[in-house]
Amino acid sequence: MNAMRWILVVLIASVPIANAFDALALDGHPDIRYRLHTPKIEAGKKYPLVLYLHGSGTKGSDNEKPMREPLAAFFARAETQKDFPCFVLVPQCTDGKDALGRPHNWVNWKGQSELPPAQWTEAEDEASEQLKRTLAILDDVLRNPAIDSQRVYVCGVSMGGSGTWYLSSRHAEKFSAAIAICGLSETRMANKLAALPVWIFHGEKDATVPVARSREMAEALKKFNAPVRFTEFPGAGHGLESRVIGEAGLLKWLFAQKHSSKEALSPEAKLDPKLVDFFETRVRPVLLAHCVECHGEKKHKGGLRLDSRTSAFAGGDIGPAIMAGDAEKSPLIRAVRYTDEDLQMPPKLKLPDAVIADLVEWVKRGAVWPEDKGAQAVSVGGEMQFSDAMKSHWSFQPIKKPAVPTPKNAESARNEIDRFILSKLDAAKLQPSPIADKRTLVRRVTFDLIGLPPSPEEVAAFEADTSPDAFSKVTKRLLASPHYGERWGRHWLDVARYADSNGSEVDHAMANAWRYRDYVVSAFNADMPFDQFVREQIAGDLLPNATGSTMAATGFLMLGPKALADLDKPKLLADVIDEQVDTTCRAFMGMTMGCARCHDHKFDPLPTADYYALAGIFRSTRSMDMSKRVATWTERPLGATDNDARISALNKRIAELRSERDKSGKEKKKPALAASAKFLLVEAEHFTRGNVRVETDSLGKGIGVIRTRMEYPDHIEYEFELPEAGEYQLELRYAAKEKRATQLLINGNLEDESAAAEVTGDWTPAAQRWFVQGAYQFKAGTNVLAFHRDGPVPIFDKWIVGRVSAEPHWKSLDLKKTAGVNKPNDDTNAKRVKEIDAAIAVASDELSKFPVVMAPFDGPVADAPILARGSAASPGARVPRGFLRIVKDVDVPRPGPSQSGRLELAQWLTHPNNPLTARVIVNRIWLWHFGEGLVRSPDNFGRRGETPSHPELLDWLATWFVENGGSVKKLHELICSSATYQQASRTSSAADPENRLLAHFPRRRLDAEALRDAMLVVSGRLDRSIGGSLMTVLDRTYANGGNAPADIAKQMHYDTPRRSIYLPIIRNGLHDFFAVFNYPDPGMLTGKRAQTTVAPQALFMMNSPFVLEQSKLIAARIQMLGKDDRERLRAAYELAVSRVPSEQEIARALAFIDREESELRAGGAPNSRQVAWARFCHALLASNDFIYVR
Amino acid sequence: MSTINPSGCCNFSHPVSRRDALRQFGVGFGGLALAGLLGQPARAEGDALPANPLAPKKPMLPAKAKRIIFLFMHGGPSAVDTFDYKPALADHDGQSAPRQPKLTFAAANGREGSKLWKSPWKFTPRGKSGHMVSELFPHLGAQVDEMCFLHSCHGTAPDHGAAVLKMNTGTEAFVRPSMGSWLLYGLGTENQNLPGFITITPSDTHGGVRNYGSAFLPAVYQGTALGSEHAKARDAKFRFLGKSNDAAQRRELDFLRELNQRSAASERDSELEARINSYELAFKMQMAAPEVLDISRESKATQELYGMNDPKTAEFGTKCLLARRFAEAGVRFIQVSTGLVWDQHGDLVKKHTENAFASDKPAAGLLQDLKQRGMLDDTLVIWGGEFGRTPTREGGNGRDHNPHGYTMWLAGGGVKPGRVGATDELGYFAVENKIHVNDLHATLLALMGLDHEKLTYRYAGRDFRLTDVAGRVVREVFA
Repeated sequence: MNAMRWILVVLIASVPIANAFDALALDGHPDIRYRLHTPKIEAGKKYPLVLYLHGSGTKGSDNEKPMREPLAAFFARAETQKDFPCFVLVPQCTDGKDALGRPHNWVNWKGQSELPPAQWTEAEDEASEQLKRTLAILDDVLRNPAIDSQRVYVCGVSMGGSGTWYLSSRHAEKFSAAIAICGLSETRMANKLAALPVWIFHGEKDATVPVARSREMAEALKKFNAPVRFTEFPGAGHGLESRVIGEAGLLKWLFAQKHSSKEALSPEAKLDPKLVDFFETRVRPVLLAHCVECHGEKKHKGGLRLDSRTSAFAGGDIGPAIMAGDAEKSPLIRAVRYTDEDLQMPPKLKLPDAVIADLVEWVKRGAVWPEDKGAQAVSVGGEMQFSDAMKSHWSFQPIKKPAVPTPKNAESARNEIDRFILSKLDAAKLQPSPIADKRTLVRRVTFDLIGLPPSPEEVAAFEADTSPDAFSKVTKRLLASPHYGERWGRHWLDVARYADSNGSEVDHAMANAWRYRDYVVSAFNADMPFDQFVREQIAGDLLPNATGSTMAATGFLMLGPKALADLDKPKLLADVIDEQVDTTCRAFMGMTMGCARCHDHKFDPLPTADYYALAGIFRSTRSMDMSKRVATWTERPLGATDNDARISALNKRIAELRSERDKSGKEKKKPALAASAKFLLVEAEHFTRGNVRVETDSLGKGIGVIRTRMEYPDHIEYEFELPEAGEYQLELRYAAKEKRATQLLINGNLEDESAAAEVTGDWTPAAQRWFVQGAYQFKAGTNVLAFHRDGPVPIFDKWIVGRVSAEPHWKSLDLKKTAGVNKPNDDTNAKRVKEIDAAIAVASDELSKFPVVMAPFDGPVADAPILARGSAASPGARVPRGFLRIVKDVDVPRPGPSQSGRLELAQWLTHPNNPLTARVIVNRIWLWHFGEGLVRSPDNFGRRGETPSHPELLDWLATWFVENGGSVKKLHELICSSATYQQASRTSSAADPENRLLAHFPRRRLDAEALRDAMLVVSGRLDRSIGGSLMTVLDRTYANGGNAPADIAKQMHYDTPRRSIYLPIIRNGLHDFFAVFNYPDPGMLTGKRAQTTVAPQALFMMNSPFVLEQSKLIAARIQMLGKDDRERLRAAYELAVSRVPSEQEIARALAFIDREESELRAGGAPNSRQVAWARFCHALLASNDFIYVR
Repeated sequence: MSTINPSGCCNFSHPVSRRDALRQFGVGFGGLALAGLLGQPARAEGDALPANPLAPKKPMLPAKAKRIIFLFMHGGPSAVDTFDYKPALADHDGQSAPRQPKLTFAAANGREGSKLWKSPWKFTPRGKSGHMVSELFPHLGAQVDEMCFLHSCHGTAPDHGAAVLKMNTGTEAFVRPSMGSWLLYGLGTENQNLPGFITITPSDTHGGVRNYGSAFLPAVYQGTALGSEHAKARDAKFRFLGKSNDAAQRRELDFLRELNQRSAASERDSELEARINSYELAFKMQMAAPEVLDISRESKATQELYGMNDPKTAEFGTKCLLARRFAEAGVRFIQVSTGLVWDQHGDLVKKHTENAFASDKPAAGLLQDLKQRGMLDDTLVIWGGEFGRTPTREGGNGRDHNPHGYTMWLAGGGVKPGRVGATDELGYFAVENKIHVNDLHATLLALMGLDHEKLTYRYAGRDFRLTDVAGRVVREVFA
């Protein structure tokens, strides 16, 4: 019999399997491939499907090996298909490691890197990437109408058996039966499988997965009266396939399983009514009376809620509260029993013993808890009810174009804006101000539209132009200027919390962020329709006509500050997504969505469910690379498709070379400390693993060192042998011109954060010096010494490990004689390694020449679980991806299974029926013109925000904007041509102290950029070139802090004469000018900048070298601009404040200059006249006329 | 000695009108935001700033302390080697720790090589209370009767960056206002000629400026850095401070006033007046700051008290002495950073000895000096790092990060000397009367007369607090 089975297996393996399976790929994801066997289909008939999950031996990406596994082949072979025609779906688990550095697996187990597989008892709540892909494939395949969705089965072996347990317990509704062969089960999930037929197979002597794991599960399932079969093969090990295939009746059993209706699938349908009754009469009342006050709707202490089944089983901060069937392990029982000192519930008084006994009994008998009514509703606290006040809030109402009013003094109106403004002024019995004088006007509009002062010539030309459209001509000229985009793009960058570094606790350079900035500038210059601007920023990578430019636009999603070093990766991910949700909602809709992360919004109709519907979209978007200890953001190559091919070819080549190098490295003989020797000398270049390159040529004959390849972090590892365990002394020889404190790890333990931290003077061999690093514990046999630095390491030459000794060992070295000591005697290998290193360096250099942008990847697609209290440690029910429920009449379908939903989100945001997006942007533009919005809380259009001062005008502008194709430039023209914009500025009347009715134009202080740029214009130093980056710090290395050079101002070219928009924004090291003059915190979205008048601004104006330097330059410049002092004074006034000084002003200025000159001369200062002029110019720059625009 | 009179900074007559009040208080060093009057407010979603956001405010509750000096031990000193005496650790030396934390910093913690390690230092009972202090701190040991030891401090983040941000801003991942900026927002400051929140030689790593930033609070509440961790304390300066009482600058400011008269005269505009006055106050500030920074005016005895006579203690001594001078001048919150020196993953014995030596005498000197000047009663001194270190050995001779249980101490400012909370018998986990970072913040605010649940700021649609949605006032520390 056994022999027969063996022959059978051989026969199966020899069948041309590949012909039985089609090779396919997930829609839109050519890299996610799978195999599908399709039966011979008769029209109108439906066929079952078997999802087969392979074992760990056939992981990979060949899409070949898994279908050759005996069971996959068994289902697809002709004999089986004759009687049981079925689809067989075979996905493949990727080889390699996931984002957290764990080997890919169908299931992510808690503690899997610390514990042996037999002790993996609890899977992480979130499905592995691999199973998510598999589910996406399954959903895709199930669209085939020939598949009978009532007969979908899952079967797997070993690793696949574990996957089978996971899938069937988490997605019981998808499957009609499961076959789990020698897999790891989770008994805590048994209650989920109460209704699912499962056949378990295991070998008694399985050395890989203990048979107990199947025995215990079978027992647990029986407690639920689950339809379980358990077959244990006596004496069998881990390889069971042939026996399973030989199991009589297996196929018949499997294909007979079918669920007749959805309800039948619900485990509750099978619940023992007696147990349900027990729960309702003996358990639920106890929970309600004693627990729900602190673990209910209002409070969820410890992250735990006990008022619904879903949240009770999801558990709290310390994990699930209830382990069905296991009272001893259930924290709920331990708490009520007062077993643990720090977990005693209820806190004030222990429950009566009889009540505790009931609870214990209930848990032991499976903790049966019928699904609560409405528990499928996604919100933590049930479905959020919108109050009438919420529903009727102004910003959610459809935008209707209001009629333009006819105010009393309509003759002063120049366009519709004025009519709206005038009618409110009428009502308040206020008069508008007269039109401002021409010099004021041209200065105002020039600063407003391009952020620079007008030149004296431009002022003169406008004064001379008496035509009625003179001002309109100026406006048009300014809007056509390339500097317009720099000014208005900069406004948008406040909203996009733009920066060139990450900030937060690891202030890494985002050296490619500038491509987003330049995209924004050019989008404004090109007057890109606003809806397109929105779509590109949300989904520029997914648009049908995606280009490098639209890819750069997605930088919007990428720019938030992130806690890159957070060791709790799920938390980091949840925080990154939170930042994206919050910024997107506030930027485009003025909705403070961040509030809904932890609970339904308290004031606005923003349920937690809607938050996680949006979070799912960003969760299905990959913007973070978590594979390294310090995580980083994703970047994508920019440019033509042929670049893509070249880039992937280069990446492949590098990967191949690396792998070959690793192998060559492994073949090296490990250096070993002889039992009799005092120490072992190792050459730095003889490392076992590392990402640095070996340098042997440039430093002189025979001198080998290691150098960085600039793919930080630098990492070098040495393996070597020690005869016995104990403390050994480590000595290092290296050269370092600057301090490069490096992490030293011994056998994976971080021993020193700042090893090799000395400065030796230079990078050259002459500067190499020996240092005793310290004494450390090593073990007997193979040890691993590693150097790790998030940046370049010092130039290491050699190191020594030796017996602890007062006298350093290196002193006893004769370097000439010992050169090459312990050099592995594998010259050919070393030569090959050297060649490989050279080839890697060439390929890496080429790769670095391709431009990249910060941009996300789409997928893998997965809905987000609601996180109880926003904590990544407490995931609950999943919410389908989607949008805000309060916004009606926007006909955009919910995202499908093959895409994240960003494209749909972008369409939804820009849909003409979305009442928020157009209102929010026209309000922003109004605010950037007038200093205040019609709604003064530009980022909050909710009920806690402000109501519009002119709601009709806001809606009229919003409709006008949409009718005009979302053209921002047209809106500028409309606004600038209004009398409201052109009126004079004056002080506010008592009737309207805050000038909300706009009876005059509000005077404004220049913002940081305009103030700095204006000084550079007046001094003649402004470099007007457009675009590009001033960053020299390498991408993803420290821009500030860490091991970044200390002098950030120099490093970032803060002294550049370029326009301020091009100064790098280093979140933890802002330019002084920005820090002083109310530049917003670049880590947060800012719709309106604060404006303060503080003494540090005065100190900066009085004493900063920058302002003093500009004063000198202006003084020198005006010497050329006039032949006498009067002309020079006039030139200074015209340049700096766009006006002609009065006679009195001239007299005072000259008196000041004369007095200063004589004071200076008396003090013996050279160039006293020139210095006196510089003092005058300094005062002019500090004057209100310069700093404020009227 | 020359001191700065906290209220004598402005030579104006008593305020009689709102305008005079603005003149007097509205143009201090930190800030003046008259914007509220002018329709250009720096406001949070509609709430205008008061005329002088830094004017001293009455505390919500009876205040025990008026100001805080936070001696920040960056890197995380080991509790079991300093103030948290654990005799059982010696009994279990070399054994595995019975309970391991979920989240650890070094990869191998909790696995091989991480055995319990008894403190290499001797502990002796000190003071009247007999609190056990290790020989690392002979001088601070003499002050134990002033201190309230919080032995059960704990946090969540095992890495420096997140833990430092948490300690200073109450959050690990988001952009939130720092502790000092919350205090300024809640209490204002007494001396308008000096910043109300000064951080001495702050680190530019582990959050950098964010640790004294104001985030969404108005910028007037942000901290002002004096020097940086790269500079020696005695060379530390405020940025852009000009010469004191410079005659040429005085003349220039007079001329500037004339230049500005055109606009001011025609418009009677308080913001423009404020701008003019801000130059005057900056000028006065230039006179005030050098005086307070000039520690050479301190007596020899005082200098010696802070260890200024020994190069090894002079650096931290300078910082502590500056902190006292700022406190005396009415600065609300002063942070003193050691720089990232306490992070001994290896070489614990040598480096902890050095670090303790460098800071012991100066910190003890600060306590004594405050006491002898009668300032300790209303000055709250805090000592501690962003976390502690494991009682287990990391590698050969180091200890790993331990956010699960560590010691901080408070002194002065209405604090009852003694001890609160405890770690387990090995000093690994806080077990008794646990004090989370949020609880610490709630307690500090309470000592300053602020209710942490009521000190809120509306931003992005909700009211934010230093303590987020947590925090418990540890009443046991109150005198």
